[in-house]
Amino acid sequence: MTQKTQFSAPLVELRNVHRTFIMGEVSVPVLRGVNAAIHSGEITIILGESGSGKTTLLNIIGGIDSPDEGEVIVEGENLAAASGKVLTRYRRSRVGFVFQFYNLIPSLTALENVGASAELVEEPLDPQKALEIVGLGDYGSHFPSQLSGGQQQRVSIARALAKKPRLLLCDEPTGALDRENSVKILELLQNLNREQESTVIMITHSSAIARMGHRLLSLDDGVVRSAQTVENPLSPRELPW
Amino acid sequence: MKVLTRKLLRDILRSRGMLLAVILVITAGNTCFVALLSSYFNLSRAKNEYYREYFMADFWVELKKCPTQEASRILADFPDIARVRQRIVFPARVDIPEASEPVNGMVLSLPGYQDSTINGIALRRGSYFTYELRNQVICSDKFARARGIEPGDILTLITGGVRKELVVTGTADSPEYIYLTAPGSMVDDPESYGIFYVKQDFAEDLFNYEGACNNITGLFSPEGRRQSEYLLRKLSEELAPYGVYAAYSRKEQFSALLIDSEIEGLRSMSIILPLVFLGISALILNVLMTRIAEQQRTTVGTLKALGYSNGKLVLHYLGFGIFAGITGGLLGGILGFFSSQGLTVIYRMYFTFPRLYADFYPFIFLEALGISVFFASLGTLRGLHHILRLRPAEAMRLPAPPRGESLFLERYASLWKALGFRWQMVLRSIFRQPMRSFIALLSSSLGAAILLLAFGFVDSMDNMMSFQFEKVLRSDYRLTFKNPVPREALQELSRLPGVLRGEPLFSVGGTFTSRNARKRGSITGILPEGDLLVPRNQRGNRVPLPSEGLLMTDRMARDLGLRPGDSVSFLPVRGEQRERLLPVTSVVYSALGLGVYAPLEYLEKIMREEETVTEAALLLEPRSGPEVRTKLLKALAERPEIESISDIGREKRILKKQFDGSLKGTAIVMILFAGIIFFGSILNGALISLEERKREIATLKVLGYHNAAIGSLFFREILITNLSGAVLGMPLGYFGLALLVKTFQNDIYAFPGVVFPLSYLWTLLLAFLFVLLSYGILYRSLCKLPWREALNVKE
Repeated sequence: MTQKTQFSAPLVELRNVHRTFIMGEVSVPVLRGVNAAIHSGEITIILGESGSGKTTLLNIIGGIDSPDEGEVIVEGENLAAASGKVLTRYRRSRVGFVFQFYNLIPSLTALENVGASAELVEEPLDPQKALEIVGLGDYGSHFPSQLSGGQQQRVSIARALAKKPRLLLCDEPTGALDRENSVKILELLQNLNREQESTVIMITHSSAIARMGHRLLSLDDGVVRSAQTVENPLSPRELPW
Repeated sequence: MKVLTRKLLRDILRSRGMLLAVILVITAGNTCFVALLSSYFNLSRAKNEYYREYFMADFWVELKKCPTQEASRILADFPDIARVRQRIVFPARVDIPEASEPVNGMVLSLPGYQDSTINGIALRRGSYFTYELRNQVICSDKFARARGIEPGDILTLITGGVRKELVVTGTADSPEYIYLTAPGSMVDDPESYGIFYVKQDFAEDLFNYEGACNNITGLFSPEGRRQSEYLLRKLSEELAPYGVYAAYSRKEQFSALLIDSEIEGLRSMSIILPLVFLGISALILNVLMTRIAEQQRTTVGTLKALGYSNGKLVLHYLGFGIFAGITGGLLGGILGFFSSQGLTVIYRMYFTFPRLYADFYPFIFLEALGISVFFASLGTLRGLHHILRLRPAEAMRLPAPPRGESLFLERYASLWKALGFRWQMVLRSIFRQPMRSFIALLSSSLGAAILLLAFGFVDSMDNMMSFQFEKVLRSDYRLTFKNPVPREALQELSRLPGVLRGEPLFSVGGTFTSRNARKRGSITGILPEGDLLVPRNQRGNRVPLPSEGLLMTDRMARDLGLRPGDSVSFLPVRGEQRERLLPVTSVVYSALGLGVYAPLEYLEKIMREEETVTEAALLLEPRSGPEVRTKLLKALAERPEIESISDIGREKRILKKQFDGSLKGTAIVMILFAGIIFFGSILNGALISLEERKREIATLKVLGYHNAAIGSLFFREILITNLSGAVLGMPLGYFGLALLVKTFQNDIYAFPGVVFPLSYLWTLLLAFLFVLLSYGILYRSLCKLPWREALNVKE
């Protein structure tokens, strides 16, 4: 794979980002000077082993966590020093999150879970339509406990889509799924990127999944070891599982 | 409906068991608030309207005899006395042949024509006086009903040494006697005591008081009310030549004093009790919301990640508190309204108002609702603040593992080992959740405090009754003579059929003055070796009479700033009316009245009277039946020198009946409330604990433990925290009782703060019972727990 030159300004730029966690009496540095750029309209994969800091990095890009040091520039705005209110506005209007364990609200139906997201923006995607996009148009009245893992993850994606976000952030979206469901989810994300031109940032520990993105950032021990452009991204069905 | 609202409703439904506990406590608090405050307004309004409509006097002056013209002349010099009424007042006996107990009353003169007189009467049945006959009487309505007397009946009064037959024209009530008792008694006994209104001119003839009066009542001007004490003192001085027995303002008048005490008591309780309940509800809700916040930690993080602001999330979760507050507020408001109606029915039994009804007060209802929502919100926010402060990513992460340090008890290795793993689990669970354990401890101690307060209330009344009627007042009858009689007369009385013993009493009314304090009262001269009126100290031991000097009730001594060894100035209203300086040798205790005692001979000496008997105490032979009593009363009725006869035994019986009826009812309600607090706190904590420890329970089940064995872990935890709390709550309850009895202290009675040892045991037993009942409910939930599912629970 060769490095391709990008002439457009990145959508997201990370400069020397540091983040340390205090867990009881223990202090754990998770990100130790991350520099990276994410471009609009691409699928960017952040690849790293468990404990490499990839979830933390995704959380910082998504505005649900803040760095201790460094800059996080999104569309010209530095989120690193932003207040809680600014971050909330940012998440509401520009970010859609897909979590590894779905994080659906158990007391709401599938349609209501999507609706919870749609209510936050002025011109959302209709929740029913969002469910249809992910192939669950008939499952709106089901509670999460009545859905399979794959279905729950698709509801989670529909929830993220309902806000028509600039950024779709996926934290190991197939981590809890079997292969067949994983393929379906990844196909869905790829279609969203192609048809809706969503910028997708996905983290994974699977080097196979890494081959479906346009760009690959390898994270190791809290720093980006390499940033590469992928010439011919594979479709999910072609991935070497 | 917004999605978050739907989520809230479903979450509320899921947590209904735990929320119910909180709602119960809020309901109890609000019921108290609405019931007591509504009753406060009901009674206040009834009293104020009554006083206004019938011109309740501001002051009373009791005299020996004063020409009305002289009185008018003197009163003319008091521009701040706006209106005056001069009247004639005398005690009387009522001759009711079929009565087996003495029937007494007070005769008061009224104008012959109905007008807006001071201390006017509210006619209930029949009519005011008519012109046809002079010997007409209007009876107090309660007395008439108790005795089955109707307008048109004939009533025979013995007064002024004379028997008089009077025609009843009507029955009435007066603001002067909202609570009517015989002088010196606390008991409302309408069968034995009544008020009899006669025409002014008839009274003048009957008592030989033409152009004279012995009672002046009046109204001050607004300015006069501000200096009422001064004006009364001055008026007494001016009227002194006519023998002033007493001069007092409305706030010292017996009926007004009692009503005002009751109203004030309602006001205080309407603040204290609800505060306790609502405070506890906030604490319980704090625990519940902390648990819910932890349970929904990931959801909170997700909602924040989606873009929900802290404000929106606060409002969402505040919905729990608002729901609990509104539900408890509404239920409490409704129950409180019906309770106030119940209270009104009870008040109508003892207080006579022309109009006393339970009103609905929207502002109280809304206030109750607002206060309960406030407290519930407080508890909710307190429980949530930690989670809401977290960043979304942190909220979605598992919390840091709880502290794993060993307990202080574990240092004592052999003791710790001897406890066994079950007790070890229980103790660790208690000490590792300090806030939750503290709240459980606090709630149970408050619950126990209320229980002990309830028992203490009952014990104090029991103590008051037995102290006063078995230790101090030991006679069956107390006779008051119209005029002092020689001691031989008493010997004669002691020989009447059925009488075992008679003792002379010599009472002198007057004013006690010490430094700047002044108090009216009387000294009762008693025999040093007497056994029917015995001064005692608080422990119930007899306080021997000095050879010279006074024994003074502690409350009287305190009001006058006196200690044993001090002297007090006494100005009597009879005989030589000059001040005497008398030593106070000892202080005694009395639950009723402000008694002052002296040796009979010593009192005679200082009053320069000999062998003077104004009252007599009679003790009947043991087991004297109704026939003996009737015979004796008949014999006494024929003695014109006897002005009134008090049946001490009957007073005790009626007081006990009243006490059993209403006060014990109050105690039962308080026990119920304490139970609600116990239940609310225990259930809430235990159900939360069950939820949190589902996986632990499931693990024990997989290992092979039965439900009973698992349940015993929870039972031990509940038992330790709640019984410890109950033990701590007892001194709190005793302190609460000490504070409460202070509100029941006045010149007429002093409620002692007494708790019998058995009551402490009862408190512990009841606390244990509440623990058992709560555990029963918890055990059912434990048995129904889907423990297999719990093994798959992801935090």
